[in-house]
Amino acid sequence: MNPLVSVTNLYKHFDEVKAVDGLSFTVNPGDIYGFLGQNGAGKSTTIRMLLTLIRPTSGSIEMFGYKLLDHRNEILRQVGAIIERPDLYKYLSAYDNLEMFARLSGIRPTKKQLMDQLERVGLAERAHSKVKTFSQGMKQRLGIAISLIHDPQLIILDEPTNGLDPQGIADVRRMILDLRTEHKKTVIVSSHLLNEIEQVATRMIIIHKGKKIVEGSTVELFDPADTLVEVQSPDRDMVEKVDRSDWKGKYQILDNKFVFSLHARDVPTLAKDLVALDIPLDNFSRKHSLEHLFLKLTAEAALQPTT
Amino acid sequence: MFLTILRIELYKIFRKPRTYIGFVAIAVIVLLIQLALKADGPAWLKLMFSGMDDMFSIQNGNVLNGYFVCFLILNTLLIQVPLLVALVTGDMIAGEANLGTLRLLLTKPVSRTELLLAKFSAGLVYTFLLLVWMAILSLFLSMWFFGTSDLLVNKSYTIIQFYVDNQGDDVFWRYLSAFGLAFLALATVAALSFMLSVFAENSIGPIVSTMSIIIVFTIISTMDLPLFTQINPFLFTSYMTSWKGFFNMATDPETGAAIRGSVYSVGALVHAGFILVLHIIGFFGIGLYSFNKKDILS
Repeated sequence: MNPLVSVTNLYKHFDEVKAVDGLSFTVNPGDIYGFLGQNGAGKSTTIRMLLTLIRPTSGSIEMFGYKLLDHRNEILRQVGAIIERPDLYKYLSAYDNLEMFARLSGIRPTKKQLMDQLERVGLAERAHSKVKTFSQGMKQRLGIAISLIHDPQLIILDEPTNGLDPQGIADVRRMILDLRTEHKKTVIVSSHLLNEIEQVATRMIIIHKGKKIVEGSTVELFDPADTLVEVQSPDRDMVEKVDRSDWKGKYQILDNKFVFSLHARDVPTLAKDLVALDIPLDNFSRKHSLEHLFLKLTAEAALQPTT
Repeated sequence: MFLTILRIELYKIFRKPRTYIGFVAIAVIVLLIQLALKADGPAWLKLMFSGMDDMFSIQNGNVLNGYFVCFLILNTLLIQVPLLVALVTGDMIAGEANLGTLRLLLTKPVSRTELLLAKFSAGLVYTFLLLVWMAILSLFLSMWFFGTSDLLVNKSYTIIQFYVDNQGDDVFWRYLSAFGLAFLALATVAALSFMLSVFAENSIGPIVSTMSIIIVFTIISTMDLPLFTQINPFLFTSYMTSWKGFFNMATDPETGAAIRGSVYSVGALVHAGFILVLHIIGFFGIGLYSFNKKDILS
C-alpha cells in the first residue's frame, strides 16, 4: 500500500532552536494517525509544514504521491484542516463563512449543499447568525464543516478538542471515527489529550523535542501484558480480602487506590473475583495505557544526551 | 481563481463596519464645508480675494460656484484621505493574522501570490470607490448645489482663471484628470500600508506606521534644506499633491497669455505619475516577497 503522506528527514530550525529534528513518518490511507508529544515537542510545527504554512529548513514531504511544495494546490484541494481553534470571520454568518471557504477550496456549492453541511454539524438553525455570537463549541463545529465541505481525502486536525466541553469532545471523537468508518477518510489528529488519541487512533507517532520516539499501530505499541486497572472501594477490609485471593502481590496502593498490574485478557476475571470477594466497588477502570507508554518513552528520551 | 478571491475579498471589505468610516467621514466633511460656504461663502470670498478684484472678471455666474467649492474641498481633504485608505488596506493582512483567519486561508489551494494580488486589488478597488465617492460629493454635488462657472485659482498671489463659456468647459476635464492622479497617490498609500500589513500581527501598527511615514516624508518634502532637496524627488509624498498641476496653465511665450485647455507642465505630471507607479510596484513587490517567505506561526 502506498502511503498517503510520507515525511522524510524533516527539519525546521527557528534560528538556533531545532523545532523539528530529522522527523520521518508515513500515514497510510484509512489511518487515524495520532500525533502525540508534549507542549513544544514540534507537533504543530510539523502539521503546519504539512499544510505549507511553515517552510521546512530541509527534508521532503510527499502527499498523494507528489512532492508537496511542487504540487501544493493540487494536493491541498484534497486536504481539509483545522489548526488549533478555527478562527473564522466573526462579522460574517456561518453560511457566509462556509460558502467563502468552499469557494477557496475550489468548489461552487449549492445552497442545499451548504445547508446540508451545516445540518450535519448541527448549525442549520444558526446558519445566518454572525459567528461572533457563537460559543467555542459552535465555532469548532463550523470549522469542521469548513474542513469537510470540499470532500477531502485527508483531514488534518491540530488539537481539535481545544476549548471544548466534555460533550463537544465526545462529538469530535465520534466525528473522527465516523470519518474513517463511514466516509473512508484518512485523518491526522494531534492532541495533548492522550485518552482522546487512544480512543480513536489506529496508528500513532510520539515525538519529543522534534524527534520521533516511536511510531506504529496501537496494537504494536501497547503491550497487553502491561495493563493497569485502578480500583476504589469503601471496604476497609479490602487488603485482607484481596490478599486471601490469587491477586495477592499483584497490586500497589497509590493515593488510596488499588492499582492492579495484569494482562489485558485477565481484566474480566479481576472484576469477577472482586465481586466474588464481596468487595463493593466505587470505581473500576482501566488506566490509560497510552499515558503510561507516553510518560515512559518521553522520560527515557529526556535522559538521552542531546546532540 | 483570482476573480473568485477578489470577489471574496471585496465582500469581506464591504461587510466590515470600519470600511464605512471613510465614506461617512468624507460625507460629513464635504457637507459641512458646503453648508458653511452656502451660509457665509460670499463674505469669506470677499476677504480672500480682497485687493485682487481687478485681476479677474466673471461674465456669467459666480466666483463661489461648484468648481471653486470642489477645489477648496480637495485641498482640504486629500491630506486626510490617506488615513482613511490606510484604515482598510493596513488591516488586510495584519487584521487576518490577528483574527487567525490567515492560517485557514493559507491552507486552501490558493497560491500566496494569487491571494496577495487579489487582496491588494480589492484594496485598490476600495481606494477607487472612496475617491469616486469624494468626486460625487465634492464635484457633482457642489455643481448641483452652487452651479458651474469660471474657476478662479489663487496661485502665489496670482489669479488663474479657467473658463466655462460658450467656447466650452475648461474645468471639468481637469477635475477628472486630477482625480486620476490623486488615485495614483492614494494607491501608493494603499501599497505602503498593505506592505506594512504583511509584517504586522495587528492592524494598528501598519495604520500608525503609514501615517508616521507620510508625516515624516511630507516634512522632508516641504523643508527647503539642501540635504532634503536631494532626496525629495525620490519621495512619493513629493507627488501627493501633483494633481494641482492640472490647475495651472501653460502660457504663450510671445504674448504671455494663458493657453486655454493646456497644463503648465505635462512632463511634470507624467513624471509624478511614473514615480507613484514605481512606488506602488516597489511596495507591493517587497510585500509579496516577504509574504511568500513568511512562516505563519500565529
